Amino acid sequence: MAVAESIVANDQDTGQSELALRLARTWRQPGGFWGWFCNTHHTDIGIRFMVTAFIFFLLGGMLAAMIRLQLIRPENSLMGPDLYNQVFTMHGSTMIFLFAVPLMFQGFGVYVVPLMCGARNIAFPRLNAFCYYLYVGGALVLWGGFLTNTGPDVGWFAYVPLSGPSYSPGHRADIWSQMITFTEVSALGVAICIATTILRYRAPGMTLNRMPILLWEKLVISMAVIFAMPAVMIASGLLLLDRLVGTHFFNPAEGGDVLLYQHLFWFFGHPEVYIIFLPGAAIISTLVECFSRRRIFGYTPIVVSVVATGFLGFSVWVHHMFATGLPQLSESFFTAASLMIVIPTGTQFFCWVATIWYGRLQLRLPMLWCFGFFFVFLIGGLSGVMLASVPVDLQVHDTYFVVAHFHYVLIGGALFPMFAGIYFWFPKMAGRMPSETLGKWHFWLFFIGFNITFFTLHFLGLRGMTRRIYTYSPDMHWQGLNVLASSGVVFMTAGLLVFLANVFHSMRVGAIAGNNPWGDAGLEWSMSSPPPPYNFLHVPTVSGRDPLWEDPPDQAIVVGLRDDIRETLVTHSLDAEPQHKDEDPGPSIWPFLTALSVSAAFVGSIFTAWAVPIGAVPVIATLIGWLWPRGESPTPLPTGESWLR
Amino acid sequence: MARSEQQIEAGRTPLGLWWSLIAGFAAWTFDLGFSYVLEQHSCSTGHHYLLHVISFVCLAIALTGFGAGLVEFRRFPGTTSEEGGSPFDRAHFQALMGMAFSLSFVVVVIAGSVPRWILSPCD
Repeated sequence: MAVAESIVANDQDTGQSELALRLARTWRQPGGFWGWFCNTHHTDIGIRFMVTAFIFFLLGGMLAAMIRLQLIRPENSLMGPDLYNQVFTMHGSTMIFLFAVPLMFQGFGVYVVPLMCGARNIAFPRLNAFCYYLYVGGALVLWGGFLTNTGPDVGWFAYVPLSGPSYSPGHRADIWSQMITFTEVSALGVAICIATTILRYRAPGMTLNRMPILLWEKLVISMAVIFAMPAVMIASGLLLLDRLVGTHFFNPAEGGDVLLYQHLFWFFGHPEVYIIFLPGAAIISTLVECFSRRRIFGYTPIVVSVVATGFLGFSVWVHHMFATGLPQLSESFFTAASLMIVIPTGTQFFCWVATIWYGRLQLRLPMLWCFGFFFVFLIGGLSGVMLASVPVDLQVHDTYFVVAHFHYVLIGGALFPMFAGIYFWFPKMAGRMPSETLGKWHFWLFFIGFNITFFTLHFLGLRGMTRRIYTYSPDMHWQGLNVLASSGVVFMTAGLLVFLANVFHSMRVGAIAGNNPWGDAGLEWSMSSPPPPYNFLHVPTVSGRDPLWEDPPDQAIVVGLRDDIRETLVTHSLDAEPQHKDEDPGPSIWPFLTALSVSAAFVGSIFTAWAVPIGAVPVIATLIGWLWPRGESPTPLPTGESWLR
Repeated sequence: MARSEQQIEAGRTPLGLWWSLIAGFAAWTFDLGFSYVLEQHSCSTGHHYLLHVISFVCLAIALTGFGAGLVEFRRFPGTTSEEGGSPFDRAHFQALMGMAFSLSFVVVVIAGSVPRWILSPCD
């Protein structure tokens, strides 16, 4: 801390409001129509990610309701098999690629991480904005295809040979493949931004061992994204080459390998589960600490568990392929790994319970959703342990038991923490408190509806109802359970409507939130709500793991950053010692234009391979515009320590 | 001042500490990777012991990680803590993590080795 202490000073600045005005002017984002596309500030982009992903969650939910409506009675003619195939493919693809990861990892991460680090913006803000537009491009391609009767119909994992050129003519599978490229490039870019922010933009004093659990989890997820996403991009890229160029990567007749696709897909697919779950766990850790009014129990075991989970998540992919005829011993390696992953997850669970047990619990609205998470995710985890066993897995493979399991895991691990997180950070984002009454209605309607629907699916699966069938015979006697499962959708829909009403109502007339309405310890609660464009008047320093609870009132602040240009402080990745200043590149239209040209090239490549070389021209042109040197900075950064006061 | 302490103070991570942090992960990656790849070879040549050798070697790798973490941990003065703000406190925390990772993956490698005693690679 020697260097840190040498560059900080007690807050003796008497011209706070003048400084705030100057900073607001410097960090202001442009307004108007074009200004919207030029915005690169992390709070705005984070909220855009969240809102967009939530819209796709609602669309995916509507598709789920259509599925339940179709299955409510035997031999229902509401949808034919072709449309049904599209609907369940779109539901899965939307929920995984357009909702879960973009909202839980990208949205929350982009919004919260820089605030928690004590930074004025995210690292690489233009790359971050580019990723948002690319994600929107992928989403529009997928939904545009569906609305023009070209929606993919090969399941959310698009197994070959079904998705290959022989069995899926037309462009349905191509659209799915390119949507993968769009969304995964977007996630990859955001992962780089978030990881860099955590490693290099932390406030002085926030050493590796003082990082909030949420930052640890975001760092691990970012690394998982960086290693997992390329696998699925390779899988979808090779599939596209097989379909459009006539290669034979997945064609056994020409020396290709069908199982190669499954290996590539699931090498991404299972870490993806943790990429979705760990952001939820991060939210739970933050909320449990806040509402238990005590420090998190077992900080180090939780960090160890999170890192171990991120790593173990990469080695259990074969448990999705137990029915492919692999040797028994090979399967047993992955069974062992799948069972072992229970240990770090269980460790986190016990630490949360211990925190609540030894704390002074305040059962506020966000905490209600945490308890919902405990209940739902525990059931999903237990059925997951059952499925890790090869004999059980083979018995219930591709049945509704598996559907019930992964909905308990994904909705339990992502959706419940997501609502907890939205209610928790809503005051920071909107400046107003959400309604507790409406929030409780939302919780109970959704919780009851969810369990009615998905607990019932376990029994349907055990009775032999398989996934992806568009109808069934009355002789199977599945109607009663299907009616029950479908009835839960009514409660969930009602709950979501109450949530939307709560958001719109609270944004208009909710109680003014103030800086820190929940009394949390994180740095993000030290500034006004919503945060000003520069986030922190002075870049803070910290002297403990829970800054707002532990730091003294006269906690030192960083001085020396200029207020007439967008300066940020770069610190050491391990010890958060200040190293140098960096200049935020500011708003720009180029990320949007680059995303637009990349999208055009991607979409064109669905129809002709020539779109790649032709589409590369505008991509290169916009990249040149983006990366064009801005010339010498009008006020070059001082070298050495002359900028310290 | 010892070399590793100088490295820590300069904001770097000494080799021993690095090894304790990655040994467990490396051991288990090798165990899973080599066992999966060599299973068919082990069956076709009848060298079933090969899979056990892999387990033992990887177990040893993970244990060396624990040992390295312990050695580093003992270097620090008693005044360091898990949550202090100095580079030594950070290294103290890293050493704890390294030991925990190594021990965790010892358990994982052992769990993965059990089926090799029960199932044949030719099944």
